[in-house]
Amino acid sequence: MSSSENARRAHRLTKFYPTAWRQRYGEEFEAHMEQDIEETPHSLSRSLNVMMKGFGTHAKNLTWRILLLEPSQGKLRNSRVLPTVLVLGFALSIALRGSNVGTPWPALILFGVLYALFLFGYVYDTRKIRTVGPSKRFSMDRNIMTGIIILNSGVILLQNAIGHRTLVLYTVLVLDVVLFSVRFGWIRRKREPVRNPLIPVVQGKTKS
Amino acid sequence: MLILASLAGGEKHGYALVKDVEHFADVHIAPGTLYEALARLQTQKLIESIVSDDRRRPYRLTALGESVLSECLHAQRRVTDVGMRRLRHVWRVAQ
Repeated sequence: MSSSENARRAHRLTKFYPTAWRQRYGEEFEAHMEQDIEETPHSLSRSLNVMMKGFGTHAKNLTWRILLLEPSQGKLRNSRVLPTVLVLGFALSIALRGSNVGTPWPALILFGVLYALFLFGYVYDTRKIRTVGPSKRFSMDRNIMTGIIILNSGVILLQNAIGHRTLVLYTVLVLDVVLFSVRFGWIRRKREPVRNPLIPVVQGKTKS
Repeated sequence: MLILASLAGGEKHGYALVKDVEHFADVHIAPGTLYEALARLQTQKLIESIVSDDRRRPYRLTALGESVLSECLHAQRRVTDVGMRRLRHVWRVAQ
């Protein structure tokens, strides 16, 4: 197999990774892949490995983009996160309207889902990438997120007990919007970025 | 751990690292797995990349990486020693 064909195949496989990752590792990864392809021209396990890791990196990046807010990407984030919260909130309110009054299950499920997201984004990744965890700013942001999750779950649990579910749910949505706006505003004011741990610092600068 | 042990022998780029690990541990590290680990180790400041004109960027151990590796190896040696001692005892009883 010609070296140009190897390079093409290596380039194709590298495209499974996010752009930011490719900017940092793309060139050396392609060089590595070219040598690997030259040695073993056809390997299903290699292709699957690259695909799986590529998708994994995309998933982690996405979680960080949603949960961690960098001032430089404030507008983009607002445009993504707020509509997501609103749409999910409305969808949830419709789903809850059809459920049995008095059972805490919808609230418990909501709590489970939100907490799973929280666990994945903040705890799992930071345990795996330990150096990022201890920053004060990161901890504060994590605490605000926890507050929002607990508040949501608490209010919905309460509405299961006292009724008035439509009123309560819309109150929750308004509260969410206010809290998220405060969070965005606070992060924008701080002006120092929350670093994405998936893109390591190279020679004192973060490539993104 | 395999990557750290390999880099303890001197700076290496990705492909040389895979070959070295294959040589001393008989373990093949797939490219996706290798670069995931390299990124994680770099974020943990256990290894660092060196600027190079070559497309293949070499990596080396940091001082923190050296101490973490040494700690892990000592822990492994303790486990190995205990395991071997206990096995010797079992073998003696069996005889």
